[in-house]
Amino acid sequence: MRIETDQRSSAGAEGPTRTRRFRVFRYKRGDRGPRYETFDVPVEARTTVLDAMRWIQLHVDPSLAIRHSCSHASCGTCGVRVDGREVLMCVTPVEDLGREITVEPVANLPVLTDLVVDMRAFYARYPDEHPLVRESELLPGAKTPEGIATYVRYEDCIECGLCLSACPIAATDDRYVGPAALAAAERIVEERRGADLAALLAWADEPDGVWRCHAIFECTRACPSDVRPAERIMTLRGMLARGHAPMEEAR
Amino acid sequence: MNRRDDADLPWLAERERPGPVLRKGAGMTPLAWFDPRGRALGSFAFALNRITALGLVLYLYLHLGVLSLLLRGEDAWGDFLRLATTGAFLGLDVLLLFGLLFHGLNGIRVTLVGSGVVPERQRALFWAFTVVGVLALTAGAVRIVGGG
Amino acid sequence: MLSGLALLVLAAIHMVAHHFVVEEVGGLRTYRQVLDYIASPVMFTLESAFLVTVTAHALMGVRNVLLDLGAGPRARRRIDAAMWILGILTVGYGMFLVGTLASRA
Repeated sequence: MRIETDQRSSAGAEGPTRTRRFRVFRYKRGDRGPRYETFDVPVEARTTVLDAMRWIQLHVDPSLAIRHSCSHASCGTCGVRVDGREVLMCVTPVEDLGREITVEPVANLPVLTDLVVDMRAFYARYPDEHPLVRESELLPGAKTPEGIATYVRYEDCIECGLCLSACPIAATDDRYVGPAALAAAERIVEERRGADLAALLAWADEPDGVWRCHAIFECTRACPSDVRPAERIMTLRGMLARGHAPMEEAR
Repeated sequence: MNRRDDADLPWLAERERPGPVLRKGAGMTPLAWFDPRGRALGSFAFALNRITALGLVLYLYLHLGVLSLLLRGEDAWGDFLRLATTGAFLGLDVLLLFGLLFHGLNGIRVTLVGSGVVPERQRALFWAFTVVGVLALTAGAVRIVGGG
Repeated sequence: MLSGLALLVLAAIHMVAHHFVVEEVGGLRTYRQVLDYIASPVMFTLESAFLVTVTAHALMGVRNVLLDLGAGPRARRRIDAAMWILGILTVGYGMFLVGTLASRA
């Protein structure tokens, strides 16, 4: 038997290769301060910002530090700001951007090196009850609890930190726990899972919790995973204002 | 091989030393709220809400100060009324009306969104209220400047 | 102090009181008319309620702006104290003002 070898065309990579100029944030420990470096990168129709950064690593400067993993917007590691807007590099086509493209780390978290930030300050914001590992609900026969029409999967949160970067209040107040942690808290309140709800709501009710949010919705806009943190914060506030969680209301 | 103390490993301390924290806009100052770069509609509404808020607080105290003229009697109040009917002053009244309308309508919008009544419709509400606000401001301005 | 519900009620009272003010004050111009207006018990009560509400709303707003600049627990206590003092002074002066004017009618 003869196995055919497909001759794959370069579909999707058609068209002439052009060059885009990338203005990339650079900082290494020990530097006196950060600076921007420009790189002219050849791009094609499907080139993403992540591709461009990897091209720079391969062809110009291997010391450019970036963080990425899955390349399809599900790991949340490649969050940066491109021209001031929070994006995941892996799903941001260069085609949609201008001639000169500025790439910077996310805001409101300490920069470790170049485009890599220290995520410890992000995770430290989460409530203690936040379950990092939990049982799958995709079990045979799993049902939604009474009073809940569908599971709203806030686990869609990929913990990329883009919402925290986009939040104007987090920009002026490092004490604010921020959108991701509050959305996670609302998720736990919705599903319970044995968490101490009173403690969790008290945590959200702290001065640095839900009341620091001013319904600006930048987090929702920045979120690449449709978690809609602002709406979750609004829901938490509604519960706190009414003095109880919605499931108690339904009973 | 000797086991060394953490103090002998300077890179450990170096590892803990945080790098720079980038901020959007003008850094950790209130100006950061008013920098439009990399921001969307919600930030614009928030910034204008803050500006009108601070303007209205200023107006509250100005208003109390002006009303204090009443304590000084009829003549002092009459002098103020003459000033208050000049064109420039009426222009400021229109500005005040804008501040009240924006802050009030935006407040209702944020309350409707924030109380979970229409949590998903903040943009639609913004534009609907903008229409209401522009109509009310126009009517008010015509009345203030035209009829007094 | 900062519950959403409290703000909702405050804003509602604020709106109602404000409408009364706009409608009734529209024609008020002269010194004598102002005195007659404020001497009416209904208007006096509404204006006083409006004064308290608008001061509370304004100072809670100022507090919020200050807290958003990153106040720790100690700074927060100081801000709260300052706002209370300023609020009491403002309402106190406002009540003195409307009280004096009402007594002159």
